[in-house]
Amino acid sequence: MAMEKGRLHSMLESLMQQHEEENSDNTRAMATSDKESNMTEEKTGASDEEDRISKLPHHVVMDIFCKLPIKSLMYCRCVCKAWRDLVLDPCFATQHLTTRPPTTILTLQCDGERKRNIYMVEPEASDLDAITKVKIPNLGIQIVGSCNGLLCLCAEQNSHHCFYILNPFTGECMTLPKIKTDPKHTSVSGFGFSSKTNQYKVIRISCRWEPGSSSTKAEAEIYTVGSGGSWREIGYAPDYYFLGGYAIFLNGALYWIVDGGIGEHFRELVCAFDIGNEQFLKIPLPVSYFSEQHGFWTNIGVLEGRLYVCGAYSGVEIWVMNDNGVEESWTKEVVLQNVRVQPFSQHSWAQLIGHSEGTLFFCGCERRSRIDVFPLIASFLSLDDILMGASSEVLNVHSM
Amino acid sequence: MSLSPSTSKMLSLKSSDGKVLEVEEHVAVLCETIKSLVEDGCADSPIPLANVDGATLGNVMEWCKKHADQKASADDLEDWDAEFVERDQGELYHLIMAANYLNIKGLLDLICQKVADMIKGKHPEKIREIFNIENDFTPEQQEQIRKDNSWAFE
Repeated sequence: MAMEKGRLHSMLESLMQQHEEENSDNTRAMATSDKESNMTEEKTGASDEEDRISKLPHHVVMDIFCKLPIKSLMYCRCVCKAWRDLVLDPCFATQHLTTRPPTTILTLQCDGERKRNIYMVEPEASDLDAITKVKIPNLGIQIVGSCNGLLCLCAEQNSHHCFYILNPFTGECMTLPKIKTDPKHTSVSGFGFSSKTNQYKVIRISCRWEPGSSSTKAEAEIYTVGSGGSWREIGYAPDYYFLGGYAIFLNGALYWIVDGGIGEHFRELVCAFDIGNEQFLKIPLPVSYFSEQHGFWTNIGVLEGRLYVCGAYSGVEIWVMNDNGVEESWTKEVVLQNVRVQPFSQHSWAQLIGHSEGTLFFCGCERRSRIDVFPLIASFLSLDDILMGASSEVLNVHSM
Repeated sequence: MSLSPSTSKMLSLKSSDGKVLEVEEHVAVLCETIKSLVEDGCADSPIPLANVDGATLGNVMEWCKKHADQKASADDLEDWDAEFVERDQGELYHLIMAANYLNIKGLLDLICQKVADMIKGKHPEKIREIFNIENDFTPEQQEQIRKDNSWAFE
């Protein structure tokens, strides 16, 4: 079925090709480096030796800047002191955050490679020039999630998990205290923000499935960013089997697809975690969702500000939750009959980005490489602001 | 005297250089500033607009007239707007200031978008050149900014 949005698809294709070539011979420079090609002369209105733009009222310049993609703003920051101060103004960061569509984050990993590259695709991307490779602090890295323009990354090293919080636009990066891993456990993580408590938190849930036993044992640990403290065990976590997919962040809560069945009875459901009060909540999938035995490779994500789940068996169904956390509000939004999709979504490798007139637009590919796709809202949020004065070292990966 | 629905009351607007423009009320009230005056009943004598010159006022009212036209389709307006903003920087500057002063959100948005399009995708040197902006960074500051933004310059 036609699932790819043409433009994005062809961009991804060429990006993957580049990635593979880069990894095989390491000689080819990324296309993102030949920027000058689009800097050709355009008709821009006659320049007549007068600086008028600096005379415009502050809020008008702010309106103009709000219409610019992040990359252009990075250039604007370097034009003069007044523009630099305006771009870094927290009021501007907030205004920009609410007026721009999200940037897409792609991570690319070749089969068998531990090395993983992260790219940002600007919302108005028209060609490869709109793709930027993100500098990362550590190579064997996974994306945990994104929230308010920040990325949470995780790498496993010497039996420890190292978590990083990175603003890919400003390059600011901080490292959280290491936390031990246990080879007998599998773990999932999530990153989110609660506006009620004004805190960013990282949660790691480890679960252990014992052969012969009918249940899983799960434990959860939380790190509050800026607390200056260490990881704390919260001592309770529902004994679901977390299927290893990404946590979806939406409105102060994280959502995973888990196996909440007992023993051999595999039964998918949504597990939610409220970042503010640190409580878990079980949200069953809609009853009729299971009628056609959809539930194996359920894809979960955010569609137009609502949580969605998508399953495919003899057809594709997309259900959205109109009232977050309210089971009764699941609504069947799209049904496509007689199509079959490969289990594209076990780990949310593909991200549903929209649908229209019977066509689903997914971002993601199945080839030798693996692509993970995340929506990211660009921001100039400074990590110093979210640390709330706690002492922690913030580095800049761009200067590394 | 009663007005037929097809005709509208006329307002006179006086520009900073003393030119008086007669404009239909339903066109002029696209300017929120003028609309408030009309609503407060202060729009009888020629309305003095001290911050807008005659030529700019003419351009602004041309835009308002087009956008007050109920018959214009969205596509039509888009094409018309695209042509409307094809002006030199001096005219755009006066239009943006007038749209801000007269509080016409649609026009302000349109010209802000035009300016944003002029900035988009260009390197700092090019932006300074287009808008004649002085580079007031010290060489050290310049280097630091470049370093922090290295990804954007790759």
